[in-house]
Amino acid sequence: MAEKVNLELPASATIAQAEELLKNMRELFVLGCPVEVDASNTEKVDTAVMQLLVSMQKTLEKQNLSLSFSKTSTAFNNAVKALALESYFNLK
Amino acid sequence: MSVDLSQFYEVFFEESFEGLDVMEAELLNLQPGTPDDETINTIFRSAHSIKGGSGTFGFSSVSDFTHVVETLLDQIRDGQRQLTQHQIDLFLQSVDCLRGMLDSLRASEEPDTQVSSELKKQFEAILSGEDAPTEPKGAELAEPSTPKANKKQQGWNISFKPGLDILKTGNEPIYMLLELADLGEVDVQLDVEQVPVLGDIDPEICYFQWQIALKSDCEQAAVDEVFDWVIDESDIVIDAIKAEVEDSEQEYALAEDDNASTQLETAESITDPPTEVVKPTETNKAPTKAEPKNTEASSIRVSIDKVDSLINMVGELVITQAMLTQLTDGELDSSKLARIQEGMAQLAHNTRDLQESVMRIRMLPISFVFSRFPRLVRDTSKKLGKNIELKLLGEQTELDKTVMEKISDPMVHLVRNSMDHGLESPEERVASGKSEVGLLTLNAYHQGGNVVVEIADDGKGLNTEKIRSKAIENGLIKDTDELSEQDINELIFEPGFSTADQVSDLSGRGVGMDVVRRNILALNGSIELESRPGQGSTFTIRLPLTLAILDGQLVRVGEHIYIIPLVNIIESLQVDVSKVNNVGGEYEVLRLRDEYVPIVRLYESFNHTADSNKLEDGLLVVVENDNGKVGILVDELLAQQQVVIKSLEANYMRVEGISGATILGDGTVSLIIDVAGLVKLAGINKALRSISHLNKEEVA
Repeated sequence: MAEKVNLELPASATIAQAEELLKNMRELFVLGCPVEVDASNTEKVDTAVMQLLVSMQKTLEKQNLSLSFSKTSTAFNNAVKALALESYFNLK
Repeated sequence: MSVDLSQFYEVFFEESFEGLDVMEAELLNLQPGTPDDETINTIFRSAHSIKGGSGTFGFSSVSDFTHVVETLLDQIRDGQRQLTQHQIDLFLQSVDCLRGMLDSLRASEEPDTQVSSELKKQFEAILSGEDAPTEPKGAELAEPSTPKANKKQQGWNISFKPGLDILKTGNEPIYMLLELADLGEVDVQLDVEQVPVLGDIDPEICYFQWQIALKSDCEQAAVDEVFDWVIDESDIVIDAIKAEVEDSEQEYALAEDDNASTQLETAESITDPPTEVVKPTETNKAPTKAEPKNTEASSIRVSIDKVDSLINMVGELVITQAMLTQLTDGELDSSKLARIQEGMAQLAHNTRDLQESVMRIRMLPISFVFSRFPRLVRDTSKKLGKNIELKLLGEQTELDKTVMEKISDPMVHLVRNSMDHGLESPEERVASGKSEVGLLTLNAYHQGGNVVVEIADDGKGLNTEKIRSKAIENGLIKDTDELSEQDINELIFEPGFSTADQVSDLSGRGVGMDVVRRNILALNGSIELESRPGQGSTFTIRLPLTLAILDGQLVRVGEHIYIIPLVNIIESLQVDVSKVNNVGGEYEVLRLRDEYVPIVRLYESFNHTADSNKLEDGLLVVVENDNGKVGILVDELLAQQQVVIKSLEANYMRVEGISGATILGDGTVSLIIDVAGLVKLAGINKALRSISHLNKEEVA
């Protein structure tokens, strides 16, 4: 099985960074590996970025690849909870 | 012979919407008691026309509902009953309801009759004398079905399909969901079905949708308020979760009773139709994109004067053309030359006049926008428990229809912010020695080819210290930066304030002033802020008269001719190379009097050649954009002229640094420079930021 590649979310992961993040995600996807997200340093995250993560998970799943989370910050967890994404990301 | 009535639908809708505007404006002037005959007659006539028209066209839901409205109006008109505040509120809700129904019919959809049925019951209760003539107390607005629902409701089922663009406008669903959680116990179900794969996703569009069960005894108004900022562009349905009085243990369930379902209503519904009501069962079966409906009028009414002027111009043009035809018939000889030249000059004059007349057709008085504010101020001030007087000035100031449509939302944001955060409560005002009635003034006037709109309040002004600490916290400035009070206040327009932990005095629920400014800049306009501590603040918006035509400076760079909007140009000069420095090998700056101006070489940005790459051989056009001044190096300045803007994006593709194109007299296409985009393209944003500090130090 292919090795996981790491996607580190920045401290501020908001719509302002979404375009750049999307570019990074597309580049990572091309590698054809499962992706592990490190959101341990994320102090601020919004819906735009959460949607990108959902989109990435959907895209990976189509290739039988997975998206997982290695570490998550409290701010990230709070946003996941508020948006009701816990079960989708398997982060309960 | 049968007549196809559908050809008259559009006229009926336009007249009905105008009638509703009139009804609303007059209702806002009404006071409980015995109203002035002329006012009540005007309202009655509007309702009567809508009833008659809808009956003629077979829109029975509208005519049936308007019938009861009209009946009560008739009784009040005849002095059979006293007008109460409750009835005024009911009439206003009927206006909103009728707008929604007419909007649906206009879109060839079946109008939703839930709200109208509920309102109709209330009218019938009044007419039959069954209603308890209680006046609504406090700041609450009467909602059509809330009183009944509240008696039995245990919570709310909310279907929230955000508008696609809500993230772009700075609205953040996380905050809304957290606000709902503050109201009670929430069960949130997220629908990610609409989220596309990475290849198709637009990161600024909102794809998520939610079904929320809120277990709370809060009133619907509290739930409504959570969605206040997004209601216009989203599909939001709020259903009361009912519990039978005798069975208090009833489980959470979607209310099946139509009467318990109401549309979210806010003050903005004055001009915007209520959001589309989607039945929960349908929602679950077929999730649809929350595409906001385009309800903008597809036509405009033009005064006869303007049409007459246009016909007159065309007449002149035909005469000139006939004269030229006559002159050029047969042999051309030099004796005719002078008269042909005269004819051509006349033709140019006629064409210019015709162009101006045509442009005037698109110009509408700004009262079209201003008219939504009396209702907005009335409803919002009630909700906030504040006494606010709205003063409208310059309502006849004319503005291009497109500009007008696009300025409306930013103005609503500014007005709401002034009411919410600028103007104090009556108690605070009295304590600070002011009248308990806050004054909000909207003023529009023409100035130097622009339209200026001012939004002023006599509230407490901006809290500069709070803004400064927020800016430091967000990393927008350093705590060592010495900024003037004005500079600090201007920081509220920075994007850092938009996603907001609700700190600045003018934010609140995640809607940023940066979005307001961005929208105004997109119209080639500008916004300025003046705050007087303890005395209030004024936002001044400057807008171009039209978006279709631009006053431009033609410049040549090598073989290319570009157009720089005149509104951006400060001056043009020859470069004194001794005053040019190269900063860090990255960019050149010119010391211009007491400030530094970064230089953009247009030929480098657009990757072609110029006559010369020496600064001293060219001319520097100094332009100003949002971030500061920039010098654009060109080979030659050509003429200044008005140009008709053609969209590059619609005809080709978006090009960074270019806002559009035009066709010059010789048929060639010329590109119009987008100064802000050019700065971005040239990569000198960083330079501008550091230079801004340098310039401040210089000035200090």
